Amino acid sequence: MIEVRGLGKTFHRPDPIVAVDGVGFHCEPGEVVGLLGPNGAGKTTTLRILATLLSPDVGSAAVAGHDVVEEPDQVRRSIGYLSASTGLYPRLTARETLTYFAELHQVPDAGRRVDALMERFEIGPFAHVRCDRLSTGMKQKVSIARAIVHDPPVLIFDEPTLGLDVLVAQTLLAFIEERRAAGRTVLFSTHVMREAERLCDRIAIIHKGRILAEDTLDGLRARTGETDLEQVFVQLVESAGE
Amino acid sequence: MSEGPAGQWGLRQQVLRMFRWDLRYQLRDPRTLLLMILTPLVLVPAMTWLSQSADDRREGPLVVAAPIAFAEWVDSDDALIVIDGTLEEPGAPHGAATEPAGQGDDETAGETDDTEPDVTAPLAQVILPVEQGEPYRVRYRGARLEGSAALERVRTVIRRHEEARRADRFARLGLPPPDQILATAVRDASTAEARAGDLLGRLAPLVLLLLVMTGGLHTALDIITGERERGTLETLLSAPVERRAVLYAKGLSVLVTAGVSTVLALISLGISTALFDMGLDGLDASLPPARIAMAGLLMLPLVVMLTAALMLLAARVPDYKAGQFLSAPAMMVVLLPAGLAALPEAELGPLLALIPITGIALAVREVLSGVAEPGLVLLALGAAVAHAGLTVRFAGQALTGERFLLGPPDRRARHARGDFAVEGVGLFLLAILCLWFFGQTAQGLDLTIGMLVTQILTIALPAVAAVAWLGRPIGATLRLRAPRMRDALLAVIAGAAATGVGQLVALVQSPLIPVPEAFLEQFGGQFEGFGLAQALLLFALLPGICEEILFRGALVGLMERRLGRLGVMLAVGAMFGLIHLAVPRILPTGVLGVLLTWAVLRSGSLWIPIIMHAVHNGLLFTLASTGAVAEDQQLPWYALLGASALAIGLVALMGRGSTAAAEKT
Repeated sequence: MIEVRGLGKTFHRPDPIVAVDGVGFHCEPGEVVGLLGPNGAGKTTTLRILATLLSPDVGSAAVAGHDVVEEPDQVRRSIGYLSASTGLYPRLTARETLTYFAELHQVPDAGRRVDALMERFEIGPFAHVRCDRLSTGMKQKVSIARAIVHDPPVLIFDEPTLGLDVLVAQTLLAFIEERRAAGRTVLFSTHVMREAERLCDRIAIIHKGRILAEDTLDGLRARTGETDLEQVFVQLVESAGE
Repeated sequence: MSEGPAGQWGLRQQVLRMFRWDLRYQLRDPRTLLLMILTPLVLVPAMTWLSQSADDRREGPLVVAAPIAFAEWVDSDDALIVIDGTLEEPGAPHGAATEPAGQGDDETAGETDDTEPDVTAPLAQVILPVEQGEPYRVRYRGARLEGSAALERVRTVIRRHEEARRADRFARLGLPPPDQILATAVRDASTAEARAGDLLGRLAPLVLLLLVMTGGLHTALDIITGERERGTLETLLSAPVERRAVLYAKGLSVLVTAGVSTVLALISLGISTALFDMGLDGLDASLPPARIAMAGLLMLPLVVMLTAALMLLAARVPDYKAGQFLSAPAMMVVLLPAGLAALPEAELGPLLALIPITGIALAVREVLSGVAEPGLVLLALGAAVAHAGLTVRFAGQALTGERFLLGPPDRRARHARGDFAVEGVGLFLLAILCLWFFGQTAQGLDLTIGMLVTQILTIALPAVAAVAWLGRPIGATLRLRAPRMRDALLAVIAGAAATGVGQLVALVQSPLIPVPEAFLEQFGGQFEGFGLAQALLLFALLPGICEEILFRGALVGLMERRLGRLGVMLAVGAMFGLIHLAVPRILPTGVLGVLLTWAVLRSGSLWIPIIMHAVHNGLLFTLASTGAVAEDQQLPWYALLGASALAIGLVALMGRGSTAAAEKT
């Protein structure tokens, strides 16, 4: 469902900064893959390339069988993208936000789909409240509903639990598990080890723009001899000479 | 990255769908409503009322004193001046006709017969007093450029006569000259409609552009910079819509906001001119709707161009706050060329019609005044359409790239490298803005106080404050280290020799940029009445210190790292030329600015250009005030070239033997 090979991206702002350096991994349908790394590791840049927001300098990436460079429009139809911020329009209501994006995705019978999502995420009580007046948890619910308004086969979430309280974060993690059960592909980035341990079928550890290892949690443990994911991460970074 | 068609939707559908949501979103912002609707409805009537007040101020006597005969002083070949009712022009190039002497003119000033304006009347007319003690009267047609020019010539004649009388009395009796000799009263004899059109025509382009900028800038910042900050832009760009559709939809929102402001302002203009009498004693001065509609049509391509420019600005500022900080300089960049159209001397011609903003501003002015030439207006319109097309194309290319999403490079990283070039440009624009609005006004009220305000409050103080605000060490950034004695001595001679640099450049540019006589008179006239010591303090030492603190101190210190030595010399030189706010002075002072910048870079001490600047200005004033060099006397080119070469050579000698120290500083 997601196939990434030798992806590279350098920013010139104005000095060159290598954000992503030969990244490669893959995700299958019904699989949750975690991109695990500290701040500045290249997670967001990788996800932005997959969401067609940025162009890679080298390498290739395909989402749902569509190349991110050659067929960006098809890629965008296939993904639900949730950025690190909630990305909501402050002066639109929750319902308007969902309607707007349903229109952009040309969802057939958009009104019914919006109603269904509002029921699923319990948005009804604040459906007509402007987004700038919602709590963080409410905003995140609207944001997730917006991301899946067109029922995409691939979900790309960039640090989705960032800034959320424990209860809202748990709701989100439960939602990701639900999507996996529905056969969707989920790629999400995080630097929280416990989230990765709980959710991920496979984990790609990224540091300074490079993938240090990609395997199942058990595979990573076996490779490093550590049981705790945090120790696994530290050992991989140290063995990479960093 | 290739963009394919988006499913069943074409580009137009995508744009319209997003535009509808963008507009709904914008209209929920009270700031948008304030800037788009309320401001034009308040500002334009205020402008009309101010025009009325300004017109009132143009009435009344100029000078009242004992009258003497001066008819012999009037140039006999001046075709536009009527003396004592006799038209002294055989050719009558402007269709002028004789007006009988004293006819209906024994009234007090300001009560002449313009209730029935004579369109064939002379452009300017001097009427001698019938009785001893009565004032001379000067009538002119202010709505015509030639009328204003004729008025200036009359004033020049009167001034020369006064000067000659003074000189004569000094020579023969040694008595102090009388302060005032002639009694004159000035009256504009243009038609009410022409006066209203001229007044509004000068102000309307400025006000319209101000509204376009205020309305459009807020929207552009909100839907581009604001969306990037909020993360909604990232979300939007991950939806299956074409990048250019996103861009067009946002452009359309900015255009509508700015366009609605313009349309409301024009409607408000029509109503205001019908309601206010523009100080024309109850005469109907309302502008015909056709003229207002034509002005709106002319503004359309300009609004499109500014929309694209505002979107570029919004995409290139790091955040909304920075965008607001840049709004004042951005407005100045737009309003300055529009302000040219407000100058009495400015007239729509084939060349000015092609200049962005200025061409349309002049065309709007002439259309509202009812004196437009259709060919020139069409030329201005065509040029504006071309400018708009190019700007939109450029913006389209620039904004579909990744920078649209990512924004400009991180400011902190840039600052960590010592790169403050953007802030330097902002500081310069702020200084020129303050100078334009506050300095000029203050100087107009009182030259001494005005110079102090200009130099200290609008030039030196903002420079030091900006350096401190940016967290830069003031001493090191401004290069406040003591100069070497050898360099200081070289600076004295180089400053004196540098007087040749400006004059040489002025000589070289004179075939292309001639200096108007009125400019020289106005420029020279403002220094009259100052003693040499006072003039040296005000016009040599004060600018020498304050202007050098800004240009060779703050601007060089902030921009050198980014631009390099040659780049900063050229950039700061150009800024130094531009801040003198007069076309004939830009290049001469600009080249002088390059030399002064080179001097500070070579010597490593700000005191060196301060010495050079002060000596340069001081020498010029001393020579002029002592009569050592006549006003119209020009040194031969080889002398100027020699002086320039000497100045350059002396600067080249500065810093020798201490280059390393200078570099470190």
